[in-house]
Amino acid sequence: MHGMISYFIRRLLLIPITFVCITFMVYGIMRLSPGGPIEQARTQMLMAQMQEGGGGAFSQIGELALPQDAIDQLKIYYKLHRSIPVGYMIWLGVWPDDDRGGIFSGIIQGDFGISYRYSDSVLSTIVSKFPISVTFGLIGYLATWIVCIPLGVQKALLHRTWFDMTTSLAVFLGYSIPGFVACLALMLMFGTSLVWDLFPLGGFRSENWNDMWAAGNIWWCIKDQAWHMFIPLVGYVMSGFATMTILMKNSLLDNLGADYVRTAFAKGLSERRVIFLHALRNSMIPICVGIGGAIGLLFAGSFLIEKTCNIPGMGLLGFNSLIERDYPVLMGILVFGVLIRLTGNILSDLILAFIDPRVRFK
Amino acid sequence: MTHILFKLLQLLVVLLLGFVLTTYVLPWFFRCFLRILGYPAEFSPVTQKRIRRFRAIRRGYWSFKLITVLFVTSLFLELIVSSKALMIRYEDRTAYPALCEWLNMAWPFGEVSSFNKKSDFGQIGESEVDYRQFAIYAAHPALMRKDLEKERTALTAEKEAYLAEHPTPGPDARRFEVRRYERAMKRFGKRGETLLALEKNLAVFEGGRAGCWMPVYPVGPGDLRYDLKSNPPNRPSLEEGVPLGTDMSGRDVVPLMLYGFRISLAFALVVAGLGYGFGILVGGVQGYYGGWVDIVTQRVVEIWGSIPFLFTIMIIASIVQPSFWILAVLMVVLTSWLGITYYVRAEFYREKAKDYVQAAIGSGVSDWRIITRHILPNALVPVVTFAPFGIVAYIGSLVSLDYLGFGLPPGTPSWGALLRQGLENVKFYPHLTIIPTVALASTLYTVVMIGEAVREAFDPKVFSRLR
Amino acid sequence: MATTATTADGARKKLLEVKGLRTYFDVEGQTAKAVDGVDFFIHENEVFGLVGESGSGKSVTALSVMRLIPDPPGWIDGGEVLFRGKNLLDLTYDEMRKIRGNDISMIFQEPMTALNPVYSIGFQLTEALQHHQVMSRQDARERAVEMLDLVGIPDASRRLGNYPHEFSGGMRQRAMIAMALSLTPHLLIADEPTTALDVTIQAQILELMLDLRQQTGDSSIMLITHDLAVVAETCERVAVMYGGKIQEVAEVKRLFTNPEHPYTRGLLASLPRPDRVKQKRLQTIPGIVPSILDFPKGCKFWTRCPVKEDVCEQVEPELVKVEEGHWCRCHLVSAAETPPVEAPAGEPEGGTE
Repeated sequence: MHGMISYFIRRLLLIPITFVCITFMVYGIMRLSPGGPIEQARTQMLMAQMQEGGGGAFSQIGELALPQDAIDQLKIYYKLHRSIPVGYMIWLGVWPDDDRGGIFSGIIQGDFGISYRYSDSVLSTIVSKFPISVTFGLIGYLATWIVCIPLGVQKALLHRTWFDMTTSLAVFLGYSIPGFVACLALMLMFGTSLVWDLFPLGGFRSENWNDMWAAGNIWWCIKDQAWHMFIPLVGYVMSGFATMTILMKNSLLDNLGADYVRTAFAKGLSERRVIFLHALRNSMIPICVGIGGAIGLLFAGSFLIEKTCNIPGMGLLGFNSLIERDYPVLMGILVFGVLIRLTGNILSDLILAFIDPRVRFK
Repeated sequence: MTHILFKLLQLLVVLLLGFVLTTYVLPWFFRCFLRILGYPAEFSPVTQKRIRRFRAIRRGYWSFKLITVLFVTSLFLELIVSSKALMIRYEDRTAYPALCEWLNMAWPFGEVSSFNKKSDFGQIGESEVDYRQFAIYAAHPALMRKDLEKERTALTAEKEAYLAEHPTPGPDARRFEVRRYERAMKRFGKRGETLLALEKNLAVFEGGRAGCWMPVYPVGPGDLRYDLKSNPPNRPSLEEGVPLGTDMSGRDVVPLMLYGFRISLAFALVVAGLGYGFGILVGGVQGYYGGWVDIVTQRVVEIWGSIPFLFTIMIIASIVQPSFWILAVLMVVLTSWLGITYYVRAEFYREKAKDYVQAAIGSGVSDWRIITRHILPNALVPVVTFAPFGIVAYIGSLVSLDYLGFGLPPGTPSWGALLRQGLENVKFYPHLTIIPTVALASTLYTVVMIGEAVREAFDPKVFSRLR
Repeated sequence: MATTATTADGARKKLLEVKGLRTYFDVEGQTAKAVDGVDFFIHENEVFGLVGESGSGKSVTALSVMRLIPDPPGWIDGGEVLFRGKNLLDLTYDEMRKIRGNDISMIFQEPMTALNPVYSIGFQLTEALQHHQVMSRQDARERAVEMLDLVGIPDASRRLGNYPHEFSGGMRQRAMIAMALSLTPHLLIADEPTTALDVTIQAQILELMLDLRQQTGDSSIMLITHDLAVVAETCERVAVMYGGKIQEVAEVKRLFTNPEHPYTRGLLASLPRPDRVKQKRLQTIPGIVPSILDFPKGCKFWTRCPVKEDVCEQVEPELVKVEEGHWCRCHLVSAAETPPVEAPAGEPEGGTE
């Protein structure tokens, strides 16, 4: 037990190191790459001029200059006048920011900066998107468990029968269609009049959802929510379905052939007890270990599905921030993504230690 | 009718070529390669048994055959689906532009010009020959005669109509009238000259001194379908000759799909090959040497694995437009080498502890020889079982990146980019969604079938049921 | 020689009688006849040995008695397994489950994998007790502690909460024995119970099994082993199996002093005999056991037999009675009452190192 605690303490200590490595790398990429923020600002200005129809700008694309004070402002904002490590440490909050009177203000202090797309604090922007992605992740993951565990068990018990073959084909078909493509295909089939106009073409809720909620029309709200969530949910769970079903099946197959199952039968236990108490408990181990990894998905949402179905979650926020070069938000999302992923890994280890008495960490 | 039969024959020949290459030439090369590396020509009995088992799983085996033959055939796409002629002959001038194009693709270190001037081939102008036009006229000189006739009548009619409206300016005519008249006459004269030149060509065509052999589908991936009446995107229509329609900019979907297949599979193979190569190296070093090398590398692998790779690639791609190779290397560096290290490392640990390896070490065999000869063949087992699923994942990643607009450069034939157009036009142009979805799903399904069969062949699940 | 010397009076009741048992397996499309017509019986209150090399079908025989043949890939093709007069092969699985553990229990070869790694020893010990005899949890626990004490696990009540990986191999096998005997079965099938253990532990475990048999009530033991020394030590009667068939059955004393079958003789010749000073090197049986898929036609043993004749290659011999309580399956034996050949006589071509 003692070894286990020290193992987890060491794992926890590794988090900041990993975190710093990753964020520093991405920060460095952003800083080092050509076409950084100033270049972007320049292009944006150019685009704005072109839209205004100012023909003169065409002749001087190359020489077009930002006002010097704007450049200085951008430089200060992105700490371009500081070296990369110093800039990074200011962002992290372990180096005084001279431009703001030498205060320590960074990630550690909870200061993620200001999004210049939403002109709002990055932290509140990100946190406001959490519930949406988590709703999808949680319901999707639950659905996967509810469907895949029984299906996998049934497939293992009916190995190489008609049932096993057909479900395998279906499950693998689901695996070969990426989730967002499935969403797109479903929207085409059931969101337009092509086959059956049954579901909406994207969106998280109807526009008047908040009004209806305020009016106390809860049943309508739930129905509307479910109506909107169906297609994206299918996309969320589709590839996970195959992985989990097959994992469950193979794991149970392995365990059904194990010696201890024979021992249990030799004791005269009923088939039900042997399968569900002895074999299933063992075959759940690899599946439960996956929970930690799924946590990351739960919070991070999915760029692809949120973009396809136009759901304003974390994924879409990240995507839009990328398009708009909203670097503070991007770094903020990275921070959350990495932290969640790392805690997920530790959670996996904890779960493993909890359900498998053999596991001893050193 | 004979025309269609000839095209089918052409297609058949290319497919046959692909088949022969995959079934006979590639295995032969593979064997030679192994021989050069010093491995025995025959696989070990265990491997042979696994291969036999794989062949016995017909679904997987035929999927494997299908996908390899299709991929190898797709390496010759420039000769099947292209707007450039396989062979063009005009009097004593002959050119093979499609072949040149293919050579440029196959051998990227030198450039062969596939460009042929119009004026060299009896067409008017200095740009690239319109091979389709040329092919039609070469095959049906009567059609050309009819077209010329039409043009001549049109020219005469227009000239008369012009003269009726603007009579020949007399001596008292104003200057601008004279200038206008002269310009018009010059224009008509030029058209007349063209006509004359074309009539000379007609003689060449009618005399059978010109010929053009077009690929099976005479539209390339970058060509816009100007010959269609309506504006893009065009819905699929067999009468108009666009079996799968066009995309939003008017590119034909058929070549987009086919070239997209090649690029997706090639990308996945490159990413898998490089990544697994590097992963085997790292995992091997970890497992073979162990100790602090292992500990440090393992931490690096763990940290690296925590990077959200799609997000990072997107950030990088938003800054520098990646090319095929940059994107492939990014994928390798950020993800594809990681997963395999765990398995190879474990396999090396396991194999190294075995008696035969210890005996080899004890008798002074070099590390390199032990690794390559004794351990590596065993460590390759997880690689082989993972490769198909890896390929599915990498094709999926490429499609995703293209779909989000952070993938290959715009203009590259890609399924993901087409899917994005499908999303934008989901209400009105369903073919932009349906076609890439079907292509993607069927390709990935085939690869998954291979993967499942390989897994089954390498690690057959013994189903034992007690009651 | 362990327990009471038995005389060959037919009055002893048969506890288990196996007649013409055939158990086949499907191995990649081919049928492997792992057990192909096995006949033997076990008296009440007897230690019966079943000896053979690996692949001879002895384990499958035992599993067939318990009806623990995984289906697929295997099945019991025919025969009878009469346990106290009742044919076990006719029972439904539900009825069979009442017999397993309760009337017949089994100890397996691999103590490392035979216990479920995720449940505590206590749980695995008590679950059978609670299942077969309606017993409160507390009673079952007490019985489990008692059994663990009996098999010599110190501090039994505390170790009930331990998991299998916290036990050593010998301790696990003791726990297995405790589990198997906790319901005082009439027949205990021990399938190579000591093979996976250290030599020093082996003797302890065997002794323990025999002791417990008397302590917990008179039960019969069917001991499956490839080790003739163990048989000599523990059993009253012994059957020798080869190629899925019983080749020779006799009382231990007779088998050792008067082996009839060439295979039995070969096995005995390969035993070290410290009492024979002159013997310089051990004899071995030439060749190896054929793969289960290609046992020969005719006598299963002729490919390795030093005294084979032409008839052996064609005709399968029958199991014939040589003397009272002694059967043998060999053409040479059935042909005539051959004078007993001195057992480990060094036939010159019979052995290669």
